[in-house]
This record gives sequence, structure tokens and C-alpha cells, in this order.
Amino acid sequence: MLQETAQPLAETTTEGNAHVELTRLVKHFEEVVAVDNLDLTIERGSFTCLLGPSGCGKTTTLRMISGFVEPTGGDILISGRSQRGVPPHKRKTSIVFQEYALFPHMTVRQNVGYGLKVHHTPKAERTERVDRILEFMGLTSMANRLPSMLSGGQQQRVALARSLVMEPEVLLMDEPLSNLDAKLRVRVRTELKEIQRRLGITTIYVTHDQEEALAMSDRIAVMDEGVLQQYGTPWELYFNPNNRFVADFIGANAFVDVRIEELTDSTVGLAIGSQSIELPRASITADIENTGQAASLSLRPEGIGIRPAAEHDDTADERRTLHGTVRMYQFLGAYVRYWVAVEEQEIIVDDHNPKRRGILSGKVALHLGEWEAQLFPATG
Amino acid sequence: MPTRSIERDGGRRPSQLLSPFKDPTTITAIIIVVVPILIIVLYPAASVILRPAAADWNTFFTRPRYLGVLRNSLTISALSTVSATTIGFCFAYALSRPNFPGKFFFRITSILPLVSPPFVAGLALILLLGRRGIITHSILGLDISMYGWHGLWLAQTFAYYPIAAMTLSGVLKSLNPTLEYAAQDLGQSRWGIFRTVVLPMSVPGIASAALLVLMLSLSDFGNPMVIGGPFRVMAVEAYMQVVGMQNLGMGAVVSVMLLLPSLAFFLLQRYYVGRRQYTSVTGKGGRLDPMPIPPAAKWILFAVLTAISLFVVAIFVVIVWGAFARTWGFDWSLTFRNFEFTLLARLGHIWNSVRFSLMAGIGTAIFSVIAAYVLYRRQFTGKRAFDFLVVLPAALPGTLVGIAFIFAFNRPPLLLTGTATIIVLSMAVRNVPIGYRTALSGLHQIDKSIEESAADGGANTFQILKDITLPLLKTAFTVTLVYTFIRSMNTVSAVVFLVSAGTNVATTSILGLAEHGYWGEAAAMATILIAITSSVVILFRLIGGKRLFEL
Repeated sequence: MLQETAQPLAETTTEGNAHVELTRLVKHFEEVVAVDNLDLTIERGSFTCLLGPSGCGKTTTLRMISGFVEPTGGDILISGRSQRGVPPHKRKTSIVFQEYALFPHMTVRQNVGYGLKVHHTPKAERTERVDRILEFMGLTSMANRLPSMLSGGQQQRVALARSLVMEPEVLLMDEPLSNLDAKLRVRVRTELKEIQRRLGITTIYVTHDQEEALAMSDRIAVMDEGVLQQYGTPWELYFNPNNRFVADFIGANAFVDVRIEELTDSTVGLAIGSQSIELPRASITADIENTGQAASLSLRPEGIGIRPAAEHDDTADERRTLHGTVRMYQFLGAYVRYWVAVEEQEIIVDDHNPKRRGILSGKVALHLGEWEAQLFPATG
Repeated sequence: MPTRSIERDGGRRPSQLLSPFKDPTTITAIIIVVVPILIIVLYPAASVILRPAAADWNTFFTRPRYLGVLRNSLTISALSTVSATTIGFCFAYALSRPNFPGKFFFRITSILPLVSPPFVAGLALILLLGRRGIITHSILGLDISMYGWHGLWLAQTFAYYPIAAMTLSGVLKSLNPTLEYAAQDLGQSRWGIFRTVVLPMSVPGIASAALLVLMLSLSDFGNPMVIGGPFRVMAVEAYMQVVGMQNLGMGAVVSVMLLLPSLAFFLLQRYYVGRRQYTSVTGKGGRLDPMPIPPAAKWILFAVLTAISLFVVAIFVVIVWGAFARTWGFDWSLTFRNFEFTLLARLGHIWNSVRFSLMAGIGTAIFSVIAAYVLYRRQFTGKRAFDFLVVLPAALPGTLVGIAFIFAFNRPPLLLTGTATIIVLSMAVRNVPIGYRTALSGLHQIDKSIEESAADGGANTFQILKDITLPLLKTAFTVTLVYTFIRSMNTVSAVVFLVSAGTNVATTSILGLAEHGYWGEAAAMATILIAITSSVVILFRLIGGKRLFEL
């Protein structure tokens, strides 16, 4: 597809080398289906996010990979070996919990060395490995402190060090940044990604934060209600969502009810109330076959140009233009976000060059970019 | 129960640190709280400490007998503390796990002893294992005596393990289960997880529970009286000195010597152990369930708890049975005679118990709520001293309170000896610390902004208290009332010094009966007492009250 030609190559992914494979994985909690027939192949050395709203099954999936939760059906393969019946500590995985789960009665050094001690690693080797990882994580100066004396970000690093020192094949992380404040979260996620890249360790990372997922992942698996919605690179998910849920969940978005007027090999004509526009045929995702069919048009705010209606001249591409009225705006510094009423529906538009025209009001013309729109079957 | 540290709030609003003299309502409230404590706690305590002559002190420290009694007290309470805390931990641990069978039964058996007088355990042991005991004599044909340190140890273990279980249950529930999963993930075995994570993290809680049991068993009067026999402890010694020999000076010395270790344990609990709890960070999102117990450990623990619980059941069965048996150990035929005698001659004592306990409950609840309110909402100089003063009665053994009240209130204008008032006061004062802590934790739930918005609307301190804070404190109020009622119904160590012919209460009445070997009537009266207190607890649960005794 065209989009992919513009996509930067992922640096760390080694193509075609499956490390963790989930096959028809199912988990029921009594009546509730937490994970439903999940198939997922995670490549060696990749950073993969399980992304979705709370209750989508992402954490349950992670816990099944770690071994804390027994699947109801299906299997998990790590390096091709089934993990059925393998207890957590026999798996080559290590998990970093959302709440860090540091042992409050042990120092940083004792926490990090705990797993090695349990495995009867000789003392000299233990000290050496712990020292190395503390150094690597920039924790050497606080080795003898108790967790309660550390900041949230430092605790986070200790938890990561405690997992990494075990040299797991697969690192599992359950929303590790959610207990940090917003600024720190951005910093730590950069650190985390850098560490992962340097070690080249296969990482499965659960989050509900789409920005985090986009920023860190080689690949993202979007889940909803226990079902995998889409599995792809951040680029694919953002610009080429499979369905309405993915389009809605990733990035800001407006959905507009439309009717299909015309279908050709290369274009699709749409009616929004009394206005009509034309989009490339490639904007259609699936299940749209008939003219007259109702559909839902997803529009990214940054993919729409906005100008005063007075400046709109008829030479512009009328087939790409919608006419509406500014209903509300927010000045956000880098851009101005407008809520524009078009035929009694609402479209969100970002003007990334606000100084050019100032704040707009009244009637405006919206120009749709070529690729920033997707068409999904109407819901309900 | 966890002690709320006041400094936590102190640091938060330094700008509000003001002299109490600026707000007339505050100063009134402080006076309402501090003056009674000075009169009811400090003045009596001072009068008992200052009472003995130098000769009395000299006697105590030079006669080996007294030091022997002190050693007895310390030894038996140490033994009981170890056993009761261990059993309490087993209960609390098992009940904190999702896969432990028979939880409901075990919860019941560890609440039962809490709603009955502690000496019921001693009473039942005599009926079960004593010279005419149903197990020892009737079944096994043995002739052994339960009187002595071993019987006392057993009785105190059964009387106090539920307290340990209750304290530890809170501690174990607050441990974050994720830590155990983290340990497992790092390769630790189940036993290893228990040894390196669960146990070390419970240490502050265990110490806290142990100190509580230590204080209770040290000041226990009922069990040593019923089953101690020749094994004399301090509480009984003080009673014998005061009531038996009218030697008030010596009684005062003994009760002060009982106070010192108790005070030491109290301070240790408050300033050392209480600050060392591992509070787990409450994480967001779906927490993992507590880790199940592995099968082998589960069934061993199950067997142990079942054995203990069956013994507890036996204790209560034997009390009820004893109440209906004609002559325990000889004539097992059933009769209502014991109840008839009891109701005929001692109905008044039961009525006194109910009356006094109810008054103590209401008084304690009102007082505690006011005290907590004054302390929590306001910053003033001497706040910490104030807090200490309110919880101090928790450190006072009942024996000391009883003797101190005799000394303090035996002349005008505070001539109270022989009255109902002195008994009610002695019951109330000992429950103020618990009521105060309950009210304080209630207040912590009230958002400060609620009150501030009311103050914004021009309400003064009193109006805010009446319209906003008090309604919100209703739960703390009723819990304190019911809790104090039950504890007062069962109390004995202080009131035994204070009752007169007209003000005798059920517990001291039962002790008198047991002392003279009227087992049937003692059991009948204990049965009535237990029936009343457990009805109150059940009723309180039914009308939607919070759990009084949580496990």
C-alpha cells in the first residue's frame, strides 16, 4: 500500500523471527470472556504494545504470558515451546508490575539481587551482576536505600532493574508508567525505549495510553472487549486503521455520517447532507460495496485545511471541500482547534499555523487532505 | 487498631496553627475534653502512684514473694502472648487467602471469644479439663487439676488469640498481593515467598498484635482468679491486698508495678511499632487476587485451626451445658434450677451490667467524638500532649483504674465510692482510646472542603459541628457505643474494686459464684451474659451496622 512506502523502517525488528506466539488464546472469568481467540506473533527483539481501554483483556493477556493466569484455551509459545502448565518462575519471562511491587523491607540492592539469590547464583557473580545493572540503570548511588526513600521514577527503574538482572528472554511490563506524573512519564518512556533498544530484549508492554504506544512500539496490538482489533506498526494504525474502533482509539478524531453516492475504481463519492465530496477509493477499509449505503467518515483534525468562506474560490477542488460554521475553538499554542458545524454534524479541525489568519469565526471552508480520511461501515 | 499519627495533618496546614484562645468554641471544646481527663485519668493515677509509703515500696522489693508474683505475671503473659499471637497469625493468614475452606466457621470461632468475658475460657477449662472435668474425669478418668500456670496459659491463649487474629487480619489484608507474585516471578518457591516476603512484612503487625495481647494478658484478672489457683499474678495480688487485707498502700504498689510494664508496652507500640507498618501503595487497575495457599500447607493449617476452633466450640458448649446440668461432674441430668436461682437472686446484677454498660457506651461515644473532633480539625499548641492524654487510658491496667478510683473518689466533693457513677466512669474511661481512634478514622473520611464550604457560608464552629460533622460521625458514634457496651458488659478487673451490694454487676457476680464452686449458677449467668452480648452484636449487624469485629 502507498502509506507503507512512506513509513520509516523499524530499527530493531528482525523480520520473520517469531519469539512469542499466542494461538487462539482464550480466557474466561466465569461468564465473562476476558480474552477471545487471540492470535498474535511477537518478533524477537521487538517492542510490542498491547493497547486498549480498561477491561479490554490486555492485562489478562500479559498475565497469561507471565503465567499468573491460566488460559481457558489456546496456547502460548515462547521460542516455539508451549508454555502450558509451565509455572511463572520456569518461564523465560520477567514482569514489571504497574505498582512496581518492590519489597518495602529490602534495600534497592536486595530487591535487585532477590531473584539471583533465589536461584542460588554464587555471591560473587550476584554482586557483579547487580552492580552492573544498577550502574546501567543509574541507580548505584541509591543502592542501599529502601524503596520508600525513592521517587516514583526511581522506583520504576528499580523494578525494571530487578527484572532485567534475571536476563529474561521476554520482558513484560504492565502499565509501568501509569503511577508517574505526566512530565515524568514522557521522560521515563524515552529512557525505557532506549534501554530496550540497547539490550534488544523482546518486550511486551501493556498500556491504555495511545500516545505512549505510538511513541515506543515497533508494533501495537489494539484490543477491545477481549478481541484483537488490529495488529500493526504505529504508522499503520494511525493512518490505516482497520475499523472504527481503532480509528477512534488512536489519535483525535471526528466521525461524520455520510452516504455513498458513487463508487468508481479509483474514487468514492460521498454525500454529507446536501454537500458532496470525493475521496480516493483507498480510503475505504472494508464492507463498503453499494452506492446508497450509509457510512461513517473518520477525519483526523490535522488533515483538514481551514480558511474563511470568503477566501474560498471556486477554482479550488470543490470535490474535496466542505462548508460549515465555526461553533467553538480552543487556542492551544501550537495550534487552534476548531469545532466546525457541517450540515448539523461536527468536524474537528486543527489549524497549525494560527498566526497566518488569526482566530476564525463564522462561515469557513474545509479542505480535506488526500489520505487523512477513512470510510467505515455505519454503526448500529 | 492502627494509631493515627497526628503529625501527618500537622504539617499540612501550618498556616492554621493558632492559639486556642482565638476561637471560643475551640477553647470550650478543649476544656470539655481535657478537664474530665485530668479528673478521671490523671488525678486518680497520681493518687495511686503517690499513695504508698516508702515502707510499702521497700516491702515490695525486699520480699521475694512479691517479686515472685511480678515474675509470674511477666512469665505467664509472655507465654500467652507467644501462643495467642501465633494462633492469631494462623487464623488471620488462612482467612486472608482465597482458597481456604471453612472460612465462615473460622470467622465465627474467632469472634465468639471477643463477645464473652475473657474468664469464660478459664471457667470452661475447669468444666472440661478440671478435677471434675468432662474430658479429664468423666471420659479419661484422670484426676488432674487445671489450677495453676498451665491452666491459666491455656485459658489466656483462648481468650486472647482472637484479638491477635483481628489485628493481624487487618495487617495481612493490607499487604499488596502483587509483591508475592513478583517474588514468584523471580523464581521464589511458595514457602520462600512466605518466609522472605509475607513474614518479614508482617513483623510490625505481629509485634503490634503481640504487644496488645501482652497488655491484655498482663492485666487479666478474671482468668487468674478462676483458674490461676496457687499461681498468683499481680492483678490478683492487688485485689487481695486491697479487698482481702485492706492494705491499700501495698495494693497501690502492686498496681503501680503492674502499670509500669503495661505503660512500657504501650509506649513501645505507639512510638516504635506503630510507625513501622508497611503501607502498600494502592495501585490502580485490576489487582491480582491474594495468592492461594499451596495444598499441603493449606491442609496442615486447616487441621490446626479446626482443632482450635473445635476447642472454642467446646468452651461455649460446656458453659451452656454447665448451666443446665444439675451438678457438674456428678449428676448430668438437665435442669432449669441454675437459671431459676440466678434469676431469682442475681437478676439485679445482670440489669446493673446492662444499665451501666449502656450509660458507659453513650458517654464514651459522645466524649470520643468530641475529643476526636477537637484534635483533628484544629491546630493548637499542645496538640500532641492532648492526643497522648486521650489514648493514655489504653495503657492503664483495669486493676490500676479500680484502685485509683477508690483513692481518688472517696471524699467530697468527689465522693463516688459505692455509686453507679464510679462504675460507669471506670467502664467509660477504658474505652475512650478506642472510641477516639474510631472517630478519628471517621473524620479522616470527611473531606475537609465540606466543612470549609460551610464555613464559607458564614457558619461558626458550633454550627458546622452540629450540621455537618456530627451527622457524618454517626457511624463512629454507634460503633463506639456498641463496642463499649460489649466490653463493659464483660469487664471485671476494674469494677471488682468498685462494686457494692447495690451496684454489683454480672461479671463480678459470676466470679464470686465460681470462687465458691457454684459452677452451675456461674455457667448459667455466663450463658445469659453471652446471650445478651451476642444478641447485641447480631442485632447491630442486622440493622446494617458496620462489622464490629472484622476478620
